[in-house]
Amino acid sequence: MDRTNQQQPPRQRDMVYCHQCENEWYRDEHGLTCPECQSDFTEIIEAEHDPRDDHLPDLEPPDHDRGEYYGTPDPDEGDIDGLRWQQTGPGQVRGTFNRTYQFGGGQGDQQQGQQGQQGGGLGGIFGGMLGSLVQGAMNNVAQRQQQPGQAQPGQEQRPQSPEGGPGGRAASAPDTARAGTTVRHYHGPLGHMTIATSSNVGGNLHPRDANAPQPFQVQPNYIDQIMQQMVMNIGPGGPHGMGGGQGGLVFADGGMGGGQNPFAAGPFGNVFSMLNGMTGMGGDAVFSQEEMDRVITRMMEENQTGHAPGPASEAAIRALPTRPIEAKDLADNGKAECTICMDEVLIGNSVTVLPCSHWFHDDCITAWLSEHDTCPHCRQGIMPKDETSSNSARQPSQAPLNDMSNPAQVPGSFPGAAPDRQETSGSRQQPESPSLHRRASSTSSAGRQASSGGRQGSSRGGMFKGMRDAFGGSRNNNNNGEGGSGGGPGAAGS
Amino acid sequence: MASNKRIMKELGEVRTNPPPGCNVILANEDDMNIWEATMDGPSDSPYTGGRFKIQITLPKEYPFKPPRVAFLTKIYHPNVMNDDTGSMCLGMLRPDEWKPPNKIADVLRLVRTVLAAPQPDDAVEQQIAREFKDDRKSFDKVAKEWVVRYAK
Repeated sequence: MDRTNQQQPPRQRDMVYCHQCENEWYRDEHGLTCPECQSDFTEIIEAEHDPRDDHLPDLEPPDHDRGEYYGTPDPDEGDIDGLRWQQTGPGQVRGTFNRTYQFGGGQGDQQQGQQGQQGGGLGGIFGGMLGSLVQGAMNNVAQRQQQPGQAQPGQEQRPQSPEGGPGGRAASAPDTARAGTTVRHYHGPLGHMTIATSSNVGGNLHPRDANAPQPFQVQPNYIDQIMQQMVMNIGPGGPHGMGGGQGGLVFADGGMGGGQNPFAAGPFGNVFSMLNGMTGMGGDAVFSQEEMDRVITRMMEENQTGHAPGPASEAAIRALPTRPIEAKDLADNGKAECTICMDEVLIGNSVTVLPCSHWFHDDCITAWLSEHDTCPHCRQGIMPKDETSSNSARQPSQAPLNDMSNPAQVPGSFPGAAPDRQETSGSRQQPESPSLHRRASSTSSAGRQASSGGRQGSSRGGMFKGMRDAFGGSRNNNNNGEGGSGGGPGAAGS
Repeated sequence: MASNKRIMKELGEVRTNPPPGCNVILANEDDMNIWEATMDGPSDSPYTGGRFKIQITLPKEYPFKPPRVAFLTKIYHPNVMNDDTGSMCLGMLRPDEWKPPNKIADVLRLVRTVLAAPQPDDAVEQQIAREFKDDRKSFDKVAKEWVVRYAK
């Protein structure tokens, strides 16, 4: 191709490269400090060592039906655009090129100057992948051209970028995973040329090294395979090895594993395939909204621990203090019971006390805390908030954890009030109305007002609030007949 | 196990003092963990006059894990699955919302409250929820029809 004849020697000016933001500029214009980010972590680009090598872009797997290149069969030639040359030494020329890769569409619609619009802006491996995925799904041409950085463009002597000028490179480095590097050597009248092609798939989460090429990896042609391979690389067990045991739950399976058309299952089939692969499910498919709802419901039910705190540490549970039940712990009917097992406790029986001062049988609360670090009544955790690694239990006098009623933590309620903790560890245990999903209400007087006064202190709403409200009147169900702890400060310690 | 004791105790309580409109039996006297409740439709709802069979399944981890509630009687309601499971989604039954001090009697009260006041925003049947929100008349009509057809 005649492009090979456009090689010109680059200007002999020192280029400086910023490792921080991947900016590059001419030394005689801006010196050694990055004009973009003021970083000192910069380097003069030398022919022998080009720091931008570490940021070389993703290139695509070959389609093997292309024309010839330079007398040498080059399967990549057809979708090379922006071939760039750099003289790296006497008699040595380095060529770098961009390739355009399209997801699932027709071929050949290349748009110049688009590099950096994906990947770099989205950030993160998945951002980059998803960005292009969605772009592909939208039936746009997913651009995979990336500024190679290695070379001065033959025609323009400048890195090609939307912003123009050396600085434009900043956004061009893709954040996608890299793998599979192929290196090709060509010998021609202009010298020796090496073309390194890296595919943008796989889980090799380190930059490719042009000087020490990595072994060739299978380069998938379709986004399905790309996602699959990516997932496989991420998860030790492969897509079907992770999270197993959920069997049979699947979204529309967009032709994953053998499908030739990456968009067989609609524009977002691949997204689902990806999720599918991530959650390690495989097998069935759902086709209706209802089925989908059901699947999602089931998944949510099976993965409910999402919002809930994890278990309390064994040490923290062991460290919880115990105390004997006293007369003041009894309800008006002269009885008291552990609200977990509903067994009556008698005066003198030992119970375990949580930092929120709610008490339970030791066995009962241990069983609960080993799965949830919450008080069964008020949901306050027992684990220290800051030092989760330290296994000491919180003391009853410590400030509450996750206290939704704490004015300091509840937007809009008593912003100026300092948490006015009342020492209630010796007071009668106050069973809450079981249906009221209130947070700790026995911890601050301000919060107490907030929660007793119609539960404005609760930041939760929707159905649950409705339910809580609906249940506001059913407190007589409380174990001790004590009207719940929402009764305000007066109900606290009498 | 303590849980059996608690279940017995709860069952005794709920039998001697059942929540309004409710009546609870064991589906099978040998199995403490499957309760069957009959619930009268709340009078201020389209379900009035209906009598609904509800199955409450207590997991063996109860009370550490929430019970499951399912309508054995078909009911036209946004929060009840319109399928052969008839399962009902209630906030307090979600594993991360559930607290051991909650009792089945509370669950039943909540079920009845939700019968009287559907929660379309937390619906499991989106279409019914939409109808409930957008065309209350039509919703009431279908709900009543279903009561006549299934819940008498």
